[in-house]
This record gives sequence, C-alpha cells and structure tokens, in this order.
Amino acid sequence: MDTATYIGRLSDGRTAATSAVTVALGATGLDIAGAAEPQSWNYTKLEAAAPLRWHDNEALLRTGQYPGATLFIADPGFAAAILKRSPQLSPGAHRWRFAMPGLAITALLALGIGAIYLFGFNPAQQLAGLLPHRVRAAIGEQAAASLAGGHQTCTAPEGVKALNTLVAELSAATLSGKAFEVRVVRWDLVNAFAVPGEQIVVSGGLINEAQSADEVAGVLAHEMGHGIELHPEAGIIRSLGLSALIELLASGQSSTLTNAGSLLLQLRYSREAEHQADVHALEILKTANISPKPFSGFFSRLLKREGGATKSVAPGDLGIFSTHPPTPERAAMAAAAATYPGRPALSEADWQALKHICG
Amino acid sequence: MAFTNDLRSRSPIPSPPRPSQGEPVAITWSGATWGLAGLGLVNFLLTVITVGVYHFWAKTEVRRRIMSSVRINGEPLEYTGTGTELFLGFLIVFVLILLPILIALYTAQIFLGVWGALAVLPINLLIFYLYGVALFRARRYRRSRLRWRGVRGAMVGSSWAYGWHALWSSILLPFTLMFLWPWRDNFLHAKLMRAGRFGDKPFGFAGGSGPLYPRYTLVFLLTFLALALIGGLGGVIVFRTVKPLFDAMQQAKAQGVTIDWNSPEMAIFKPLIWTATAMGVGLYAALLLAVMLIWSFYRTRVMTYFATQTTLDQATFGLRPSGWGLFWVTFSGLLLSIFTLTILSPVAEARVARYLVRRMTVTGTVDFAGIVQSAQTLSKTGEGLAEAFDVDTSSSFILSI
Repeated sequence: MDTATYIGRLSDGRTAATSAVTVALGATGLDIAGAAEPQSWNYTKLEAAAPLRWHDNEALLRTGQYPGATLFIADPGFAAAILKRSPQLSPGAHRWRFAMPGLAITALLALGIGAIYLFGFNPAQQLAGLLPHRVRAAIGEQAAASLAGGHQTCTAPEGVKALNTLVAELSAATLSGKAFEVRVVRWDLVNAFAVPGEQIVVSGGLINEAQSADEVAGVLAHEMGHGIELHPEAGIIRSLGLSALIELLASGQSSTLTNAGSLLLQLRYSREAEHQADVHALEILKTANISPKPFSGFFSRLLKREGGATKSVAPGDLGIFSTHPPTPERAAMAAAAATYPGRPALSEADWQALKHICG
Repeated sequence: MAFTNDLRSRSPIPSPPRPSQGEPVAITWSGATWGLAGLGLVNFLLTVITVGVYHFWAKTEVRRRIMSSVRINGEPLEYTGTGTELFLGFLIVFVLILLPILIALYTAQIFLGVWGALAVLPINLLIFYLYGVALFRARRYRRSRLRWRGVRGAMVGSSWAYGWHALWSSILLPFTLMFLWPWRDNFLHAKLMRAGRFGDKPFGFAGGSGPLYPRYTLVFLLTFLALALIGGLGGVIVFRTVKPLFDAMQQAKAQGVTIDWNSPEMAIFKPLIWTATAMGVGLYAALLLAVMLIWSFYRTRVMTYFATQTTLDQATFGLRPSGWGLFWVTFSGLLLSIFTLTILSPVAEARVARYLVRRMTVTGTVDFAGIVQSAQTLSKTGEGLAEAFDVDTSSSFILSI
C-alpha cells in the first residue's frame, strides 16, 4: 500500500474559499483530512474536467459523492499514483466517454442514409405527394419561367392546336387522371423538360430535329412519365433537403467538397428517374397505340451526333438528355418494345402545323 | 512530496456577517501550446471520419485543455461543457430556426417570383438580430460552464434584449459614417460585462468610449489612405498593362481584323497579362493584410482599455499594451491554421490565449470566501445559435470570460 500523503486544497463549491488538506491514498479511495470533516473520495467515482496524464504536475479532481467540491493537488507524483487507481481519468478513457455520443450519432446517421439507399426509400417523393396541386403548379410556373430564360413561347395557332390534340391524347393514355400542359419555346437546343405541376417545356430545336409526330409523342410521353412519378417536385425537395442535411453535418460550414457530394447524390437519383420515365413512356405509347420505334430511332440519331445539340441546361433538370446523354441501352429498350404496328400520333396536316409552331 | 505547516486554514462555510478578507489575484499560464498538435490531429481525423459530427466534441476538448492551462492563484480553471450539449443546441436551432428560414426564403421565391427577392431583406434583418442573440447566449453558456474552485460563472439578463441593442446600434452606424463604432463597441461590451457573474459577484465595467476615439480616428484615416494608395497602384497597373492591350483590340476591331492570340505580335501581351494578374492578386492580399494590421491597432487599444475598466470585488484588471505582439500572434496563428488545414488550430488558439493571459494583470484583492456559488440553473444545451450562424467564438475567446 502506498503510504504517501499529499498536500491539497479543497473547495466545497459553495463559496470560492479553500482549505488546506492532506490527502492519503487509501485502499478504496482518497482519504482527505484537515477540512471541516474528513472525506473519502472513492477511486471509481473520481472525475476531472480535463484528463490527467502521467507526467502532469498537478491534478484537479471532483467526485459525484460531493457535488460542487473540487480538490487541487500540486504535486508531481500524484498524477501517476492516482491514474493507477482511477483509469477513468486518463485522456483515452476521457475521450471515449465524451466522444461516444458523437460517434453513436454518426453511426445512426450513416445507418439511416444507408437504409435509404439500400431499400430504395424515397422520402423526397413521399413529401412531394403531400404537396397540394396549387403549390406544385406555382413552383412549376417559376421553374418553367427560369428554365426558358428569355426564350419566347411559340404561339402559332394551328401549331398550338395540333400540340394540344397530341397532349390530350397522351394525357388520357397515362391513365393517371392528370392533365398535362405543354409549351414550346423558341430555343435552338434539342431538349424537353418536365417541371412541377404537370407542366412540360419543349424546345423548338427538338421539334425541328424530329422527323415525325411519333418521335415527339415519345419525348412527351417520357416527360409525362417524370410528371406522374413527381420527379420534378421530388428533385426540388431533395436538393433543399440535401443542402439542409449537409449544412447540419458540416455544422454550418459548407465547402466545395460537400457541395460536390450533394451534386453527385442528385445525379444518382436522376439515372433512376430517367429509367422510370422511360418505362412509363413505353406504357403510355402502347396505351395510345403509337409505335415506340420512331422514338428509339430518335435516340439513335442523336447518339451519332457530337455534343452541341444535346447540351444540357442544368443538372437535375430532367430534360431527356440532361445529366447523361442518350445511351444505346435506352434506344434498345425502346426498339424492343416495338411489338405492334401502332398508328400515326398526328395526321400529316397536324404534324406540319406542329412543325411550324415557332413560325 | 512535501509537508508544510499551513496555518491559513479557513472554514469552508461562511457565516455572515464577516469582515472582508481580500486576497491578491495572480493570473498565470501553465500549459502547452505546441503540445496541442496531437489533439489537433486526432480532432481532424475524427471530424473527417464522422463527416463533421465530431466537430462539437473536438471544440469542447480544445476548450478544456486551454482553460485548464489558465491558473488563478495557481489553481486551474475548469471547463465543464460537453460536446453533446453543443450538438443538441445546434440541432434545436437548426430545426426551429434555420429550417423555417430556408423554407420561408424558398417559398417567397416560388410564390412571389421577382418580388420574392424583397422577402430576403426582412429575413436578413432577422438573421442579423439573431446573430446578437447568439453572441449573448454563447457567452452565457461558456461562462456557466467555467468553474474555479467549483464556483461557476454566470450571466444574467435577456439574450433577446441584447440582440435588439446590437441590431439598432448597428443600423445607426452607416448614418454616422461609421463614427459610432467605438461608442457601439463600448455600449455592447458594457452590457456583456455587467451581465457577467463569478458565482454571485458581478463584474463591474466603468468604461466610456471617449478614450477610444483618438485611436479610432487614426485607424479610420489610415484605412482610407491604404485604400487610396492601393487603389491608385491598381489603377496605374491597369493603365500600364491592360490599356495598351485594350487599345490594340479596339484598333483591330476598327480595321475589321480578327486577333490571333497565338501570333508573335500578341505574344508581347501575354507576359504583361500575367504580371498584371499577379500584381492584382498581390495587391489584393496586401490590402487585406494592411486592413487587418490597421484594425488590430484599434482592437488592441479597445482590449487594453476595456480590461482596465473591468473590476471584480476590490480588484481591477489590466492588460499590458502589446504593440505588434498581439497582431503577430493572432496573424501567425491564422496562417498556421490555414496552412495545416486546421489541424494546428488548437495550437493557434492556445498561443493567443497564452499571450493574453501572460499580459493580464490584476491589482487589488478579491474576497474569495465571500463569493457564493451561482444559483442559476444550467441550461442543458449550448451555443446552438452561435454554431448555426457561425458567430466568431474562438480567437479572443479567452477574453470573453
């Protein structure tokens, strides 16, 4: 048994006064004498605000037995002696005890995010479903306006009539009870975008590039697929939610690293979304009795092109060729679905009218 | 292992009334600065692994180490905060304040379109207000978690009221061409200081802003001088390098000639453009450095003056003037932190703390036995607002006691 005794200062925590005490290393705890009454501080109940290291010249201890009391011992040998008896005071034990909640929280978060990935939970989509149509339509208006930038909507009356005929047909074929609104804007690029609230924006360039109404029908059906699945709404909620989550994790300090990560996550969702939209497109075309072969041909034609016309506008904009160009797989899938002859999506006259919708 | 006969034994339970027995106070530093490098590395690694969640625990451990290096009459301060408290505080603020603000901003943009931009103004005002509230609450949290001989610090008063004072006084600033600044510094510091307690004893603060004005005026003029000088230099550079290029381009356009940037004629412009860019970046850095230098001149005056106006019981504090010392230790600490990707930022903090503690003086006495433990209840969560709004809580942290 260690018979060393040490000089210390004891405060009871009720005032800032101290009294000099002698501290002995007893069998089960520190025996403190010299204060109003002798105290015994159990080794296992000792605490310290800052961890104790072997080479420390002083020690400042507390105990749960006497809340508020502090014992200060300015003696080089004491730290080493007490660490043998109270290992919970060491830096390692300290850090583990205090960091445990933090590490546990991270593990929980990782598990939660992992579950979302693995089981394909889609919280953003669930939330999107809760939004009333009025809200979604308002968001869609803003999104369409900002997407179209300064580009004017094409308003040739014959063309608009033909477009609306096609859109009504396809909307009915979605069997979803939703009525879609489509507008064509005077824009060179070859693309189409689904925005929230069952609205679609098609570029004049795409109408020019298309060689038949069936091709345009395929594109529209694809965008309607996005609309049915609420991809545009979910996309917005997701980007809002991701940036909020990252802000939370980085505790208010965002960096390019976390922004890049958020972007990547959104891209990943986009690929799933595109596949779902493709599947819907083929179903819609089948219900409307329009052949998907021209649609597949459209993909193949654009595959052969170099950059330029398939330029994307912004990531996650759910344009047909947004964050990823048309792949041979998508063309093949559409071709494989061409198991029926189908009928023309529009009459020749209507198709010509649509072709000239932008004058 | 020494045995001394200490005759100054005193009963720990005071019995009123009793004559005041003041003791002199000595504040010293006894701890590592560069020794915190190891802690910095561990913190960095754990923070990266946990994608930032560990940040709250890392911050807490650094505070514990630094505060326990500060000695009052040989006995160390204790910081008893925990990372969990900081985390919970942040979480609460995130859900109750940040998220609603984000949603409000977004909804404004969606439904009001262009007019949505106008909604940004009141929201920014709200955020600015919350900034002041956050400062007060962060100080209150930290003071309540600091103990010496078991007695806690505290802060009385309302954080909401303080936030309001911080807001209206800052709105007045541009209307006084920024000359209200020292008055505002003094006004807000007085509020924070007088709200502070050690146990049940309040801190006193007698300061006025008059003594700050000479130094402030000087600094104000120097800033203008720096801006003018560096702006002038910048202008000369632009004139010398970019203008000939611009003229050449105009000439070519007038003659209908397209410029071939790879031709030998254009080759003379390339080194000019490089030099101009380099000098531009250099000037900008020089401007930043100059402004930091000039303003630290003012801030050291503020710190030393405020310290001499602070009292506790019968003691008055002081801070020995430092010249460039304080600026250097802060600036070098900043560089240290940046170049090691914040691995060595605990070291930087500790260096500043040590510098300030070593220059702190206390004249007069404090009757420690007469200071009774603070009766304030401890809040369970800390600094959420300060974390969320990135309120600067570290560099002169040691003086925010």
